[in-house]
Amino acid sequence: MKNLKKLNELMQNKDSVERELDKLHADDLGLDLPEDYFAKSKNDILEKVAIDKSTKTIASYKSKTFWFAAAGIAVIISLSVFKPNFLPEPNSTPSIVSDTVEQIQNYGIGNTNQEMESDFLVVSLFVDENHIDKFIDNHIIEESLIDEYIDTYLMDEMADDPLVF
Amino acid sequence: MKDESDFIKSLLDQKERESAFKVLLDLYQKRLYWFIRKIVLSHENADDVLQNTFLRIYKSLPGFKQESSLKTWIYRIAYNESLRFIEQEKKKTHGSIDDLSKTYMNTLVSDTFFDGADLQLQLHQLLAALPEKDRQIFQMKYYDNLKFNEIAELLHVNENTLKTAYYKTVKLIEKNIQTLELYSETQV
Repeated sequence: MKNLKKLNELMQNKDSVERELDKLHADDLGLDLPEDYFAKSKNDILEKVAIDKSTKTIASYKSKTFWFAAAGIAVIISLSVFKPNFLPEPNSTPSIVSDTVEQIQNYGIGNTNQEMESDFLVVSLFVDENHIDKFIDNHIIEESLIDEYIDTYLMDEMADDPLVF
Repeated sequence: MKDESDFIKSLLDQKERESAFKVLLDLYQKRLYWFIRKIVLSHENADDVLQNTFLRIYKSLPGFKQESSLKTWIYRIAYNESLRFIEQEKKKTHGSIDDLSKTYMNTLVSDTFFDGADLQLQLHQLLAALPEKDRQIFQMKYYDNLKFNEIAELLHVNENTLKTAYYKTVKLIEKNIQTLELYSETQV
């Protein structure tokens, strides 16, 4: 830094001016100073400046960390509040499963004719085309056997009841 | 001034700032100390204000727009820091404007680094009795050796008004000093 070199030269001239300055203040105004005050003061000032600089660096590092953390929190909050469609809901159950579970809990497995009918239809989907006629025939026979069994049971019940006959 | 503009460049350059600031400190430390000391009076207070001044200069360097000379800008910061200190002191002591000359003398006499004899005390009494602005103008010109245009910029006062005030104060002090010197000679 050649410009600073020139300034250093200028400073040598300033020494004599400063000596006069000290003398003027002491003689005219009676203002005195502790010994070596300026050397000590220079160190104190440079120390303060260094502390201020390091505090600024830490503060800027802290603020960077703060903004990263804040950005992270903002993303989490926005995901939980707006629930974008592309993200699966934790512990979510497909509706087909939950419906089935509900039905089983409320009505038991195949508790109604409707259920049995739908079971029959579902099972029929997996039956080979060549055997489908046999499967249907069997199902019809089974159905009629059940109907007959129920009819017989009802007739027996009625026969035992003294109020009917 | 080419030197000053180069020096300012170094101060504004982040890489060169630290070494340039050390040079600035060497150049202005003593002058600013005496400038501040005459406003706040005690050595201890001047030391505090001087440190704050340089810290503020360092912090404000990136924002230095070169609308004034570097010297005026630096003195302006020192002046503002001194006034801020005095305002704080006034708040602490709940002092009014009437007490200012009394406060001036009390601060001066209680300072361990005041070593004035009778004649110096009388000069201080004279200075304390002056309106604050007139006293500052006189001190900045006579003791700090600042130019009239620099003082005008610093205090935001018209240069001609400032010159008139200065010469009026000089006459007043000279007249009183002569009387004081004559008085002290008759006492010996």
